[in-house]
Amino acid sequence: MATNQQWLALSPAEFQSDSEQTLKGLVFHVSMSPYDIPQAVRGEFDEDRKRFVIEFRYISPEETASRQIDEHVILHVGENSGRLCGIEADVEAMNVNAVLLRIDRAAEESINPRLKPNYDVAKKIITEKARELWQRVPAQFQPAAG
Amino acid sequence: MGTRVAELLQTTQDFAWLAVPSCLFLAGLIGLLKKRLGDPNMWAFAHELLDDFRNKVFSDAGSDYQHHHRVTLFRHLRWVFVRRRWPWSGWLCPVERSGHTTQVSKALFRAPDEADDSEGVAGLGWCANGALKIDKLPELRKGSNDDILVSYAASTGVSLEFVRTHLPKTRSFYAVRVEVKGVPWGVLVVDSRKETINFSKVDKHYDVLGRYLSLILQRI
Repeated sequence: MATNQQWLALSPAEFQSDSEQTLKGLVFHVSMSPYDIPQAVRGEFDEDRKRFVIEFRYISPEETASRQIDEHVILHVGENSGRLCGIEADVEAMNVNAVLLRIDRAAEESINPRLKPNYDVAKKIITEKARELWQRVPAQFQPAAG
Repeated sequence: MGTRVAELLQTTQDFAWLAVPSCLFLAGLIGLLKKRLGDPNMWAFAHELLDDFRNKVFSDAGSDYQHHHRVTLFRHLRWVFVRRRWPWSGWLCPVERSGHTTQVSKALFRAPDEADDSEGVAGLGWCANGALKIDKLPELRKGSNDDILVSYAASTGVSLEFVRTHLPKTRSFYAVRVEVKGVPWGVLVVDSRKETINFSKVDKHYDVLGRYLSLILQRI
């Protein structure tokens, strides 16, 4: 049974990053689309399945599709946009660092390079909010190092 | 009286071959138009949102005219009735704008599948991978030399002829592709006659606008 955690509000402006893009032969300043930056995050622990679920909430929510990364991790990605909307991790097998590594791998294997900044922001959020997110996971499922 | 009713029924029957398909066609056309135009209440709400966003982003504009700093919502349509141009190439049409002036816009920009052929800042915003920020554009005047006009045209994705004819006064832009349920819907363009826009304010306030727009546009 999942325990519901409140959404942790994020400040998307903090995760903004600017880059340069060439359009029609000219270089333009482009920042991340606000649709690619989560507005909120939350972590839930599913006691029955011993799975920890991290969810991201975006400006424009959409249906998600599941993508099995390996036996311990499932990613939930936006059906239309491909954005990272959720992560299901087997907490008996891995800790937060291991989850971050799987996200890295998923971003590298991602077909659309457009999504890389979105995955990078998701990773940054998990790292920065690790304490708040992981607090729902019972102590016995929190490996010492990963 | 009875005879007249009978005559009326007879006439109706005689022209049924024409009246029935015409009515069906008309009903279909009205349905299509209604779908394309959307719910007027939702558009009124969208207008309020754009006004609110505009006022937050340009809170330091003081007594400047409303139309010197605007927010315009463009909708991407696969076809539009246009003269002398291919109507099915994909277009960005202005559907809502902040303020109460410059509401009748003739601006219609191409946004075809072939991204290199997109036009205007809206077109560039449609194909950019993120939010486009353009500022410090030159101030155009009658008699501005060609180099300045060419530079302005290239930076805003329009033709030299367009710039020469209209001498646009906008000096800074922000354009972002608007999405509904993860699907591109159109483009939101912020433009200002000031040399630059406070982009961090745009980033800060877009969250609320984007969230409500997404909800409204699902119902339009």
